[in-house]
Amino acid sequence: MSLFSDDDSKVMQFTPFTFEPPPIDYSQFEGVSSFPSSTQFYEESANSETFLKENVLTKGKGRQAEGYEPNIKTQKQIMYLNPPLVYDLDYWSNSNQGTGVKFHPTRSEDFTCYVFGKEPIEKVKKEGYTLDTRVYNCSLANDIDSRRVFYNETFSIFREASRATSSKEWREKSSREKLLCDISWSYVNAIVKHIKILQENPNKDEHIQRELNTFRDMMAIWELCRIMYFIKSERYQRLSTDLVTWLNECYPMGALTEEELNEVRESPNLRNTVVFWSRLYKLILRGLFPQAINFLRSILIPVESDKYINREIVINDIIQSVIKCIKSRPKISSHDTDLAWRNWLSQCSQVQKSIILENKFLEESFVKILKILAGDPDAILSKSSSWLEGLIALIYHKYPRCDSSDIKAILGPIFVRFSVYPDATSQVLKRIFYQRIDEALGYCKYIDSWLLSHLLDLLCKVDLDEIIGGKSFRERCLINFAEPLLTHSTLWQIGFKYLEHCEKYGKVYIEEFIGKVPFDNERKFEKILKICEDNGLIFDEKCITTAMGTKYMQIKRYGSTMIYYMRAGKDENLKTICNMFLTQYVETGKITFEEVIDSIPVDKDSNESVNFLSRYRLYHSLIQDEFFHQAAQVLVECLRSEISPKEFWGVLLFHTVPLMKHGRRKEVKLFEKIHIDEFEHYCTRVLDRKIEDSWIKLVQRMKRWHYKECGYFNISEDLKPVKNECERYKKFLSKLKR
Amino acid sequence: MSVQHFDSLHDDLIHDVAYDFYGKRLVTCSSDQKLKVWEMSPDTNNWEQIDSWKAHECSVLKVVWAHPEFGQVIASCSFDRSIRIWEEQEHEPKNSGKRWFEKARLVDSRGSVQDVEFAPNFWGLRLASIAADGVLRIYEALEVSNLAHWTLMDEVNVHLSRNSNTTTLKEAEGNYCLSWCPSRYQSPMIVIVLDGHQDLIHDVAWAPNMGRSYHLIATASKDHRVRIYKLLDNKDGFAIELISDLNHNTEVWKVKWNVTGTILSSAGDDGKVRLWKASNKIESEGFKCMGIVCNDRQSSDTMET
Repeated sequence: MSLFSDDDSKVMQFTPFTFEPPPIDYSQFEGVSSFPSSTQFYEESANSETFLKENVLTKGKGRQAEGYEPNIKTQKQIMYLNPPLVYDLDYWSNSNQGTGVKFHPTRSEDFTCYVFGKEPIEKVKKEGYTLDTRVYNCSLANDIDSRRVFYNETFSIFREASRATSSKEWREKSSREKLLCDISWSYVNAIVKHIKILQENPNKDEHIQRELNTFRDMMAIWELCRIMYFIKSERYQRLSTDLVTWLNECYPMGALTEEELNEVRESPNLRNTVVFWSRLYKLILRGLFPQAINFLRSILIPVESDKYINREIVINDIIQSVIKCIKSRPKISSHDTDLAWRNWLSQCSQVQKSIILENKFLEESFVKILKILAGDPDAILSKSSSWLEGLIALIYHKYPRCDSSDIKAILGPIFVRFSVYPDATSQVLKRIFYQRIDEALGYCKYIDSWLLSHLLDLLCKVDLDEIIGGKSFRERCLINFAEPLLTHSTLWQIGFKYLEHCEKYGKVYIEEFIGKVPFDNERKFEKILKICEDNGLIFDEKCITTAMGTKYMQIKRYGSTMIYYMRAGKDENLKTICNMFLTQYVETGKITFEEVIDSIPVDKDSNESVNFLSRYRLYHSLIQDEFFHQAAQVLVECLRSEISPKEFWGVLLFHTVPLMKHGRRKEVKLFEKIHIDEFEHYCTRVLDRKIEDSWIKLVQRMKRWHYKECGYFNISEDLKPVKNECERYKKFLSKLKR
Repeated sequence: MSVQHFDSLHDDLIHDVAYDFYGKRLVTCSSDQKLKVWEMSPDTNNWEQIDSWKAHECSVLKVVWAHPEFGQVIASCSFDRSIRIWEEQEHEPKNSGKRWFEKARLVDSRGSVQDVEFAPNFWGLRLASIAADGVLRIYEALEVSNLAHWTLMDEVNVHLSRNSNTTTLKEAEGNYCLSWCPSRYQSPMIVIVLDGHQDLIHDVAWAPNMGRSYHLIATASKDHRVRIYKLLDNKDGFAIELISDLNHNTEVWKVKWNVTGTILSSAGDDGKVRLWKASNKIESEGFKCMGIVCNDRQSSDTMET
């Protein structure tokens, strides 16, 4: 059996980093390898799997790729239960077999498949089919086990975010932004931490690789949302640096290919090497200036020979001038940016004009670098290898002070030149730049339910809930995310906590799922009940408690069974158990419920049957300890309260006989006259026709041991021994009175 | 996506598989007249057999678990016209053939019993059955601790209430199915057959409600269609509307809902299971095919909707 997934794996290299808030500190790039490891965004790296995902029809520069519409049709999955088997097309319709399915009762994306017989064997002729009695357990859901730590951590952040909205800081706009950024930051940190865990995992199987790609995508999207939506104040002058940092961290430059490396190694003069310049353009485009300066310095040639002295000096001078231009680029955050920026552009322009070299390749290369620095759109876009790189380089170099709302206008020329790959992540990023967050979120669901639910939750907190489909969309996404957690062995509580944050449908889901959490121990059981209690699910609480009681009943732990049935208010069930014990007494004359009843906390409010059993047990222990007076009192109480089963009244009346006899013999007044009258009254009621049959059966069973085995008085269905003794006792009482 | 399998080792065709309430146990029934109970082992993460026994005198057609508040109880129905109630005996060793004790045998049907289903637990320990004699019978264990005694609470002759078309009637004798309404906020309801199909219905399933203001019922039909009906409760009863008419391309034998009523599966005569996912706006956008489970690798017809 094998599984064929049409899932596209997204390969994006990850560079471990700490995402420092902008503006960029250039020193962090010092000493960084000149040849970063990722191939993702390095030139037209055909090796990258991202390229393989590109739709052939929409490929090509100069055309904007049609938006990838991840509709249900393209997402359809095919699962083969038995890939090696190939039956003929009519096999299934001609044979008495079909493939059946049953969904898992607690996991919405798990099901069981089996080959079923359409008709019973008695109704069909014997046929030569291949009997398949296998049962296939299928799951469409992703394994969440490897995400346990991540989910635990991010739930704490989610909870903090929920609490934040009611805090004092939230009411003030400035501190709200800080709070939001802190929350967002915590989420990103959790993502980065998880990426590191995945990277450190020695097992590099397909699942881990897929998880890595998903988490990298989630990080890129989350951070871009933070930059575009969560930071509002002081946006001016910060966006371009934020974005270039984001690009370099989330989509670092690719490493040179082996071929390119060879070209560099074998080149007698780097100045004339295409690969060298391509690399340098990238560094400039991406604002990686310290590295670019290192690159430029590497082609400074010490002048030793007179022959080339003039030419080399000129080139070295140009290099130094370009380096000077790069170094003097104004910091975007400075106050006098406008003036400084104009001065610097004019400096670049002068240097550019002064470059006249015999070597036209070199001359063009230097000019190109200066043009990129000066924000020339043609130069920037011609040297960018993706729409993302082109867009951010354009923002960084041409519109360094733009605002997030200006980006839409910049996107036009980008999509004239570049295609957007049809994968969901690219579509999300594109829409975020277009400020169509509603559409972006629509694509997020194809990336990961965690991302969608948590990002949506945070976006709802920045008053975007109307744009993104209202609070019900947030709720739906949270429920979708939480649902697989509900039946996870360790994450189930978190799952229910998420549902508690869904005002409209959360309770319905809690109600549906809480009873389905299997409880293997009492600790877990109590936790489940606590959730019911917190959410006012009285009925479910009772069902779960009853199920627990029944579980103990099955293993004959009656004490625990009764405790849980009492909690659940299952009077009928309790009555059945109590009757079972009384029947055992009637059958054998043995009190088998002593330990059981001693382990149950019984008070006057307890269930009637349990209360009677407890009183009855007390009666027997008093008799055993020869406290006849107290025993007589308990017996009278038991009869008077009428809490015992009616059939058992006769048994209680039989118990009065030895006590009356004992009283007479010892001349002790154990019963009053009124008690004797009551005994006679109960005798009449027991002999009432309505209970006659059951009463006769009971006496017959009791007779077996009462007289023959134990040598007690001979009991009879007509209660004659009781009546006779009552007469005698009355005489005794009148004698005593005299 | 993942697939794992185990061999039930039945000697004949399986007719039904049922999960217990928590999804930790499975029971299978077969034309070999046996029931087999399986349990997911947390140690090996495999389904392990708990017991296997001859349960009926003929093919066992359906099997269901009762809610755990009534204990570990199974009901099975068979071509032998009986329904049998089984209760687990914890003290009996596993795979002894005695672990499941026959507590009751209900033999009121005059034809093979084709479907049984326990009512949702909030209606007590009730069992609905429908047999080839066209009679719906509802039993109840009035004393839940006494599984030996089941009272026949209701008998409804479905056969008579059907369309008077004699051909349909004749065929229908062999094909009855039922499904309880899972909602606790409605009075007990059960669905047996729905109008609207051009041909015979093989299966019917009532969707979990999950806070929706309406009910959904799906049917599997011989005319290749999977139909989903919406039931809206109003003052005069239910307004019934066909909201999805899905094409399975071949005769459809079974339909089942997932726990949230968001995915419907249909099993057809092509050996395939189609999974239909509800869109966010069910009423306007309906259900769309989200996946296909193929039992074998057939040469064509794998990607159609």
